[in-house]
Amino acid sequence: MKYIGNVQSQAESEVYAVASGALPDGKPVVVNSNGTVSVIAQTSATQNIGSEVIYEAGDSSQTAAAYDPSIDRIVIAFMDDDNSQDGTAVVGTVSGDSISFGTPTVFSTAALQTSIGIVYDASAGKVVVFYQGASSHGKARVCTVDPSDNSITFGTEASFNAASTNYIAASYDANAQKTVIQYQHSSTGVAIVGTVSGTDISFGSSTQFSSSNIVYGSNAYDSTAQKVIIAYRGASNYGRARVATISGTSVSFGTEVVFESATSNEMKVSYDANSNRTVIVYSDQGNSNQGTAIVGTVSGTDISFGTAVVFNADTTATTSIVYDSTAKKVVIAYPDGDGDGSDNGKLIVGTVSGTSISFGTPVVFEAGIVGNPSCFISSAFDSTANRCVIAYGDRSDSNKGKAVVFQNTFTSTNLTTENFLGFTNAAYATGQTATIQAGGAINTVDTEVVTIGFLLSAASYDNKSLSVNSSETKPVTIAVSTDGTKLFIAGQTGDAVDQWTLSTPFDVSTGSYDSVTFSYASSAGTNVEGMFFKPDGTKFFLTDDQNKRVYAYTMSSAYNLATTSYDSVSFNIASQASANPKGIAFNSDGTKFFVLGFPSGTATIFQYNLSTAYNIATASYSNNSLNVNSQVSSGGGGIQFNGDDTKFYVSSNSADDIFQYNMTSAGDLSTASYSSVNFRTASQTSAITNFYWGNSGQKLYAMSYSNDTVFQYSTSSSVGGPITAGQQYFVQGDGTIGTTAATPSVIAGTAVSATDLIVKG
Amino acid sequence: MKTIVETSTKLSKYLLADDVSLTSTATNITVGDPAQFIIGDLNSTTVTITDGVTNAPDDWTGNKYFFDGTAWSANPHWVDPDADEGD
Repeated sequence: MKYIGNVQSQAESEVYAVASGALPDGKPVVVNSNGTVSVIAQTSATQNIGSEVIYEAGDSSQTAAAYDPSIDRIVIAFMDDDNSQDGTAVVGTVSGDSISFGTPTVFSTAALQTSIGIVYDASAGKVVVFYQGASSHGKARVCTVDPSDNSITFGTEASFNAASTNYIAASYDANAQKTVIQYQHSSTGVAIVGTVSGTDISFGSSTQFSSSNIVYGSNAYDSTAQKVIIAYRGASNYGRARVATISGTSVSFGTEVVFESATSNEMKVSYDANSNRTVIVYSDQGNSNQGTAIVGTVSGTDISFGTAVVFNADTTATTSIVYDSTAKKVVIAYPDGDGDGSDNGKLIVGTVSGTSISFGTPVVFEAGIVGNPSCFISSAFDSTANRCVIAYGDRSDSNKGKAVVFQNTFTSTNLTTENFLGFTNAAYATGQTATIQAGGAINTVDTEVVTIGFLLSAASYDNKSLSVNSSETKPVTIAVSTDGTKLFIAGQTGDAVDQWTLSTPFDVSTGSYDSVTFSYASSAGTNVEGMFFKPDGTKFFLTDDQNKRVYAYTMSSAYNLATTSYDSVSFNIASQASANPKGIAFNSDGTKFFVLGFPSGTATIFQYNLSTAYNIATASYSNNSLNVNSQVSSGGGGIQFNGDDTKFYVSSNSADDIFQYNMTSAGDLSTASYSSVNFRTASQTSAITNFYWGNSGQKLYAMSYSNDTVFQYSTSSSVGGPITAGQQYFVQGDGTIGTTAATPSVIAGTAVSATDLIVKG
Repeated sequence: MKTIVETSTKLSKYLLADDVSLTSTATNITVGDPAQFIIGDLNSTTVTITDGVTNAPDDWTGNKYFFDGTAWSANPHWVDPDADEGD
């Protein structure tokens, strides 16, 4: 090992730590919170919404939700309209894209008439609810959740306002370890500070922040400024905000700022920790009640705002907003309409940039009628599951209390600005003590070029094609050998599989017909639609539209069609793919296969399980199916997995597209959802009947029925390779190094050769 | 009285006593000295301030009337805010 600079000894440039997970040689590593070290890795997810789950079978409203990270539970407080308007709370556990609930428990038998405030007090490790109790007075109770059964109990009820109290909102100040509660009192706006001790809460003296009447208040805590922002509809019914500062058990306020000089309703506030900005969403009555968002910046005890941005150009009766700290975006849920009976529940993801905010495409989370102008939607972010929970009253279903789990699209890394340690000097297994070359050491980095395949989003046409007209004039399906030297097509003129040779592997422009064919007419009939080759080339499978079965064939010599024989084994899929069965694909170990079919004209994927790999005599339907009609419609064709079964792809010849679906559990169709990634081949052909991946997903081959032609695409990217002496390198979020700073920006060091790098001290 | 009118719409947004000071900048408008509140969504480039207004409607409310510097007219799109008691 070589050293430079002021390093006095080997010990000063090396760190010894226990590996958590395997550590390859020459890779950057990070130190974990428990002192172990791990490779830098990314995790990612694509957007998905789980099915609705009922937590209250009766009429519910005034919904308020919070997440308790100490026990990994969601707490939803609501008014149980069917039970004397009792204040009620229920505890939920997020699992994947679903949530399960304990039994709703009453925390107040006084009839609630106004919004409920709810916070998670990190100091106490408790959720606290603030509500209108007996005689309409402001009350609070500290919640204790038993995560073993999701039961919830409450501390002694405490009063924070012995008078009529409305429009209650609260947020926890992590710096002060206290909660600021705002509320309407005697046609003014008042705030008070609450302090939790054990299962009880006490309050300081109240402070008036608005001498005018306030309604629709909402709070958020700015963790950077260590201030609470309160928003409300104040004087002149305008949207207003103030910055609150806790001192002891008192609260004071900066100057009131008008952020909307028009009637503003249903304010909700969230703090975006990524941009260090506050986002206020509201219904702008001065602009046709459109759903509107504005970004606020706290400076000292004041707040200033950017320009308001409309996120829903329709009446937006109520809103909720929550910050997704994993995706680093805000999620807004709202009813799209004016509460007239056609208000689908929608959510939209907002990205803050500077003092403005932009939005993605809204998605429906409840195809019914959600909420009304009375705080009927609330959201919380589960930072363990990395998912948002949207709780709401479903007006299309007797106002039942329901929740959905929303998975935001994200890519995150375990690399931070602080935890980069250095590079491994060798490969280590988990649990071994690894030597990490740290600041000042010269490390030989891993310069292996890594190619990533199956990148449908990066697909580009190679300007290479192959006409297969000489063997088949109605080609419907295609396969390519693992080594890329053989290409097989099947069609409905010859009712046979035809074998072609690619003289340059994976390059269809070098293809020539082998004049080798295998007729399947006597087994699979004359309407074959799908074909899949076992990767070792000893078997292939066909689907047909005539008998709606899967057929198995064996090649005694791998990928040599001349050695093919029918296994005399077929599997009936007519009970599921009752119409137009098309493509077929096996997972990587041959224990599952998916078939695309069109029962009742609806494009649907069906999953079948095999007790013996690639033996369809052992197949059975899994009862898992996925409706893909929104993408594929009536002209679907092929289906293919990626290499690790976490994705599959479906082609549509009516849309000339190939669509990507992600599975959160590998090979499990029940966990699949559309990824919003697709690739259109229309520039080459308007009739893809099927497609196939080649070369570990680096190539994509699309079979055109109308052109009798195979079109070739590249679908990969490469990372790694030699480094350049004198060049500064940065650690990337995926564990590689590069010449440009990533997010977060972490310097790896400076290269001194094509392989060696001085580790940044 | 003095009124702050949004120039582009001619909507009267604020009606204030003559002795209330206004500090308009390119960023915002500070009402009062010391500040009573800050108007964050309007600024010196987006408003017209008229002093000495004597004919404001008795039921003046922000956005309910247009003001052209001399005369007031009703905003036909004005909708009374919803009830503000309870929730």
